[in-house]
Amino acid sequence: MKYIEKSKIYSVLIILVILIVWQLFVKLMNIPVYTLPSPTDILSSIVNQRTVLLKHGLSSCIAVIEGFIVGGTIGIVLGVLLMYHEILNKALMPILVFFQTMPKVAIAPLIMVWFGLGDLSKVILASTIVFFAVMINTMDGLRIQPEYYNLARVYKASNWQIMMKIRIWHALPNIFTGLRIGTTLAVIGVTVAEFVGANEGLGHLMVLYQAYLKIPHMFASIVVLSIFGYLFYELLRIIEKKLIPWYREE
Amino acid sequence: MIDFISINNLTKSYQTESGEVTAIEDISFNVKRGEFITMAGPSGCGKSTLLHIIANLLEPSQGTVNIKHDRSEKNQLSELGLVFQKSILFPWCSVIDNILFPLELLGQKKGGRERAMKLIELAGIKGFEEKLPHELSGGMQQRASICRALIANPSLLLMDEPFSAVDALTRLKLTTDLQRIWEEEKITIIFVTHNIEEAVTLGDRVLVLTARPGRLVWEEKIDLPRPRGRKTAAIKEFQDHCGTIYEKLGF
Ligand SMILES: Nc1ncnc2c1ncn2[C@@H]1O[C@H](COP(=O)(O)OP(=O)(O)OP(=O)(O)O)[C@@H](O)[C@H]1O
Ligand SMILES: [Mg+2]
Repeated sequence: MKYIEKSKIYSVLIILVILIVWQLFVKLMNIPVYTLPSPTDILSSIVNQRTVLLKHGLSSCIAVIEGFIVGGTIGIVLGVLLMYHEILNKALMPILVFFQTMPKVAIAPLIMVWFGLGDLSKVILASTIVFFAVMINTMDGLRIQPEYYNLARVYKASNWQIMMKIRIWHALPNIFTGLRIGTTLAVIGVTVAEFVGANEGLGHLMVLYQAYLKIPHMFASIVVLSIFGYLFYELLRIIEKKLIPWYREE
Repeated sequence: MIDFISINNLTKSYQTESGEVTAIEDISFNVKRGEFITMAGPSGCGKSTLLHIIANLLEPSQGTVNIKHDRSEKNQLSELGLVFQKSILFPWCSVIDNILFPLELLGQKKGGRERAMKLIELAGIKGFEEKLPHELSGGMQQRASICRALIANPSLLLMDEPFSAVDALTRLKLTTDLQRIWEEEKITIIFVTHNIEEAVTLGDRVLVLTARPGRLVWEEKIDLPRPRGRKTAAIKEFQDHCGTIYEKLGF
C-alpha cells in the first residue's frame, strides 16, 4: 500500500517536471503558439472553450463507452463460442483475422458512407477494433491445463459445464486484460471516425480547430480526450481488482 | 472371489512425430477392496499413464481394466477420486468451494457441506475452509485436494505422486495422515510415487515398474504394523523391503 502511494507521488512529480520544462522551453525560446503552445496556453484554452469541449467531449465519451461495451460483449461471446465449437473456430478464425488486418482507418470512410455521420458509425468502428483484442485474450484464458479437464471428466462433466464452471473463471484475468486494452482501442476508434467525418465529437472539433489554425485549442481537445481515456482505463482496473481478488499482481 | 480391480495385459503406446512410444507394456495385477497399493518406478516408466487408464481418462492400446463397483454402497456419487502431482485447486474459489466442486458438477452440492467439514477436520485443515488456495501452504493445498477427491464418497482413490511437491517434513506428516484417512474412510488406494521409502511406508503391496517400456517387474508384500511412520524406517524389515526393490530396479 505504502509502495503504491509512493509510486503515485512519483508519477505526479514526473508530470510536473515535464510541464515546467515545457513551459520554460516555450517561453524562453519564444516558440510561436501556433507551433507549440505552452501548458498555460492550453489550460486557458480549456477554460475558454469549456462549453464546446464539454459538449463534444460528452459526445465522444458516449461513443467510446458504447463502442467499448458492444465490442467487449461481442469479443467475450465470440471468444467463448469459438472455444466451445471447434469447427466454428476453424471456419471463422481465418475470416476474422483477415478482416482484422484490414486497416481500420482505410475502411472508416466506407463505414461513414454506410452508416452516416452520427453515433452509429463511431460505435461500429470502435467496436470492430475492440472486439478482436477482447476475443483473442478471452480465447487465451479459456485454455486450461489438462489436470483441470481430467478432474472434471472424472465426474462426467459436460463440455458446457467445463466451460461455465472452469474455463470462464480461468479466463477472467485475461478477459480483463483484453478489456483494458479495449478501452484505449475504443478511444482510438472513435477518434478516427470523428476525424474522417462526424458532426460531433472531439475528433471532429480538432479537425475544425486545425482548419482555423487554433493550435492551443487542438491541444486542449487532446488533453480532454486523454484524461477521459486514462480515467476509463483506471476505472476498469479498479473493477478488475474488485472482481478478481485472487489474481495477484506481481 | 473376484478381486475389486483386475487389470489384464495393459499396453499403451503413444503415437508421436518420432514414431511410436510404448509407455507401458503388458501390465497385469489385481487389487482387493480396501487395499493400499503403491506403485514405484523411475520417471517416465508410465505411472501416470497407468493411473489415467484406470481412471478411464485414457484408452489403453491393449488390455482391459475391470473395476467391480459396489452399487449398493450408499452415498457413493462417484466411483473414483483423483489427486494430482501438483495441487490444482481453483484459485478463484475458497477451499471449501474447491472441495465441494465435484458435488457441484454432479448437481449434489446441497447437503455436501457437512461431509466436507468432516473431511476438512480429518485432513487437518480446519479453520482454513474460507481461505483462498494461495493463502495455504503447499502441504495444506494437497490436503484440500485429498478432501476434494474424497467428497463424492468414492471407493477408489487414485493418487499420482501427490506429495512430491512438498518438503520432507510435511511429506512425513502427510504420510501419517493419509494412512489415518485411509483407515477412517475404508477406501482402496492406488498411490504412485518414485520414492521407494514412501512406497514401502504406505503400501500393503508395492508394485515395482521399470522404464522404457514400463513393465511390472516385481511385487513386494509389506506386512509391517500400522500406523507406519518415521520409526518404521528404522526397522530392519523395512530396509530389507527397500533393498529388494532397489535391486529389482537395478541399483
Ligand atoms: N501424451 C503423450 N504423448 C506422447 N508420449 C507420451 C504422452 N504421455 C506420456 N508419454 C510418454 O510415455 C512415457 C510414460 O509417461 P508417464 O507420464 O506415464 O510417466 P511417469 O512414470 O508418470 O513419469 P513421471 O514420474 O515423470 O511422472 C514417457 O516416456 C512419456 O514420454
Ligand atoms: Mg507422472
